[in-house]
Amino acid sequence: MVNVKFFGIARLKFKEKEIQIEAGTVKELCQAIADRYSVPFKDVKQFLIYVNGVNIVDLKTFRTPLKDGDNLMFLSPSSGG
Amino acid sequence: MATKFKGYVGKVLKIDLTKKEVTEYPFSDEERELFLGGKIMAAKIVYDHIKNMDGKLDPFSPENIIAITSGPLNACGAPCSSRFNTSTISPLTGYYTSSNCGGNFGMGMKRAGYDAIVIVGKADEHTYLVIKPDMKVEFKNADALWGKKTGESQELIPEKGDKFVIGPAGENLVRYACVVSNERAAGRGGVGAVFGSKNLKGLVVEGHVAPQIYDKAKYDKNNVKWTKRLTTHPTTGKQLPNFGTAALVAPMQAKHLLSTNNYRSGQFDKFDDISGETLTESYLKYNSNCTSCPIRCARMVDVEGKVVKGPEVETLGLFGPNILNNNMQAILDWNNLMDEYGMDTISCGNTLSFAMELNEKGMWDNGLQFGKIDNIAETIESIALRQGIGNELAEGSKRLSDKFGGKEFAMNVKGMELAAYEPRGAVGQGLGYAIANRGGCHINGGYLVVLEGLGLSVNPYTTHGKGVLAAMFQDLMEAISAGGNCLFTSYAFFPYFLMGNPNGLMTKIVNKVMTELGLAIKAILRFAPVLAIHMPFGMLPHTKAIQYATGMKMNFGKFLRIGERGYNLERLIDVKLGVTTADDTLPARLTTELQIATNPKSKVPLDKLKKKYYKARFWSKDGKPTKKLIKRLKLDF
Repeated sequence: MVNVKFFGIARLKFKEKEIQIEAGTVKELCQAIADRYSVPFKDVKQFLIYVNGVNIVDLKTFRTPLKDGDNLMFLSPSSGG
Repeated sequence: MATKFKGYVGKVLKIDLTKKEVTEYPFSDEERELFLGGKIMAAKIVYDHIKNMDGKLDPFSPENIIAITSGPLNACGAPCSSRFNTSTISPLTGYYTSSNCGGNFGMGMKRAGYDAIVIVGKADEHTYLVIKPDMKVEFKNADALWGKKTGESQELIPEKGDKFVIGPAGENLVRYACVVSNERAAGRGGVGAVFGSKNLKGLVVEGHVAPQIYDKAKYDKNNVKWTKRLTTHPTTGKQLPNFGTAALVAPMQAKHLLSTNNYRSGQFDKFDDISGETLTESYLKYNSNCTSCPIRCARMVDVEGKVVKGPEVETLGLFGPNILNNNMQAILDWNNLMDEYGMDTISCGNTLSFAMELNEKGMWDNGLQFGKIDNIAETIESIALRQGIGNELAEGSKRLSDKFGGKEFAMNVKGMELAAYEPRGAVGQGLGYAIANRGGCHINGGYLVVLEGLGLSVNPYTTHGKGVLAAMFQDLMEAISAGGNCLFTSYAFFPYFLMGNPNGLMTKIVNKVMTELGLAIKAILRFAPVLAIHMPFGMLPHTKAIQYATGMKMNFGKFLRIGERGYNLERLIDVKLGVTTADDTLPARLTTELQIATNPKSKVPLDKLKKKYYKARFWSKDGKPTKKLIKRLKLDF
């Protein structure tokens, strides 16, 4: 199980703050979230996704492997000062 | 002086408080085309005021000038167009400052028949001004208002017009005091203290002058499209209305950008307690807006049974992680207290964290400690009233460091305190803080943190391209502000596919190539007038709006050049007042200490960035606009 926290537009979309879910890669995770909330897969992968504090674009993007206890953040690109 | 341009109302009012004299300040149509309005128009007025002075100007002397300026779109019904500007020589920095405010005063000023109000001199008694059309100005005694907070002051002024007032902090010359209109503040740079130094409690504007629109059909059509873009864009249509600027707390945490423990770290383990999501879910009563704004980013919250404006991300960061506090309600209370006393929450919070570190290191025994919050409210009050340690704190972090030491961790630039973005997690933002004309400002520096992690994911540690990107975004924001719009309208500049799909192929390409576009962007800046186009896809509706409202020929290239002219003119004011490249600096903590011990890139390589920036600006190596540039920008007056 990995821990996933939703922020910004992800929080609005999934209406939950935090979940624990089973997944071996980020892609599997996005699919599991899509299934859980009955939303299209493409809508789930449209967030900034951090695995243990690192953006997946600096890892293996959706092929990034996950292990039990990993902490993920789903964020929306933001602005405003 | 009448104007041929619509949108504007034509007159600039000059008030000499010493002489109680009212005159019309000459501002020509040629100047309107060159300087547009807002902070750039104000820069022209301030420059003309100081250009024949020798050296420094004491910000608290009667010789200091206040220029309150509107933009052509104010009071004309465009989206997010209530923003007006107040400029002066800052008591924090000694250099030019411009402070933007979303209250109704700017629109009211135009309805009273004035594009701008210029104030010089010093009143011989506590005074507020009642300003009506046809150059009618009443000097009213403000003894009954002196000592009153900003909300009560606005209520007590019997006239019905739009108001702009200081609170006790401004009266007591707190160097980061603000001026308030409705619940909105011209917050930064100590504009309120300059009001106080002139015995000026505030202004009221009354009138029913209606700015005319040059091509109303096209203007209205553009506004409809513009509003639609703002309300459907992921940033301005979802993030800001739902979570306000506080939405940035979580991304800042993720990107090591959340100033924590007086900028010793970029992350705070209890960040979610003070996040935008928590603010919305547990404290928000409703969201609100400035007049004419469809974004509605303002957070209305409960403080002691009254619904008041809630904190922005800066206040959350600086009164949260930066002093190791995770008590949201306390921040709401303090935010309201500072609004009521009339002081800038950024400079106040940052000065407090500096004082805490001084105390921690045994350099100043002041009773302030990280994580200890039971004495913060009383300390805020003591600052506003200049009592006890508050009298020292009211001077800001630079002057505290002059007295007690600790310059390497006094988080200001040129005397103005940094915002809540920890720049070692986004070095372009660090550059922006260092070179911003008004001091340690996140916006005036180009706000590259949006590219470097919050909106896009451009490499936050590279120096490539950061100089030209900073210059370009500074110029764009200068011009947007001068037109009278909120800078948040600039966020819709980024196409949906970038902000709505951060992992998409196009976004990845943009993230990669943006830092390699240095030469291309420099060419755009150099030859801006060639770009006689309006930006496609509604990315920058401002140019069409200004053209349709005023009848002034406007396009992207001209708009960008106006911004460049404004930024350089502000720099020329600073140069005139003594700024040098040595002032374009950062506290040593940010340039010499790694933020993350395992990441050798996590500090700001400022010397390299500055050189690139000066080149991008076409400035000399000592950071001054060259004669050739001054001539090109038509600033050779």
